[in-house]
Amino acid sequence: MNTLVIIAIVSLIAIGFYCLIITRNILKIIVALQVLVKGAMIAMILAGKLTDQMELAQSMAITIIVADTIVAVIGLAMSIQLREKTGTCDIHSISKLKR
Amino acid sequence: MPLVYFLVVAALIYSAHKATRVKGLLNAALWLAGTSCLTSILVYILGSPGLAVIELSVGAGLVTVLFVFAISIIGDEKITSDVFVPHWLAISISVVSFGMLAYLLIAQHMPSVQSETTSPIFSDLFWEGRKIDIYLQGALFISGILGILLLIAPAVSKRIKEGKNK
Repeated sequence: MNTLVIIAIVSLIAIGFYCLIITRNILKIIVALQVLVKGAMIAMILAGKLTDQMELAQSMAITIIVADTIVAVIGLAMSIQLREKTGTCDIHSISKLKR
Repeated sequence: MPLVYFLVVAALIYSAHKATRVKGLLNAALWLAGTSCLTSILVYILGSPGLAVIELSVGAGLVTVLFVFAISIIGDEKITSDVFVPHWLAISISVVSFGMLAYLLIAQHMPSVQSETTSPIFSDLFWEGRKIDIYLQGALFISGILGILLLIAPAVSKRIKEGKNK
């Protein structure tokens, strides 16, 4: 069963990484980051289970969830600002925000 | 039990794949919510129900609401096919690197280390043992609130302007 969970972890991280490489839309980049972080969180839980330190793993995973949510919120805010200022969600145009 | 694991893992991978590959942004947000639900189920099966509830409420609830809110402001535009690198190269990099990682993890056999000390209670560990992380989470919450204000500000100011014009 641990093998199945490892497959899920690696698949989630690979899918997130793949989407992160190919996409240019900032909202899709946030989706990719979310998927990637979910894989990392499951890895943390599995590591806690295997080393019999579930409580430590849970507290670390809560920190991961909080950080992930804040990253999503700030990314969404940036996407709105990007759309307002440049009319597109292309990550290439993010440098235009400083002008 | 292995069948449940298999079904959840298969659905999780499919849902994550759809979230990253589907064209519409709203569809991607909904598939991401499904991924969060399945992640929380997997976390629950792994023996951490408290964390599963947090993941379900935050990942599938709060983040999805924020996504839908942001998409309603900027519009559900279709994703363009222009990419940084070719698809075949991205797939090759992902499959080779993470395939090697999976092989190493599975072939080397995951360690099953049993700690000698007794495991502390979760609340003691969280509130007493990891105070710096709590402060960090407080700072993160404040930046999140500022982010939400930034998220809402353009739409609200636009509506105020529209109201004044009327």
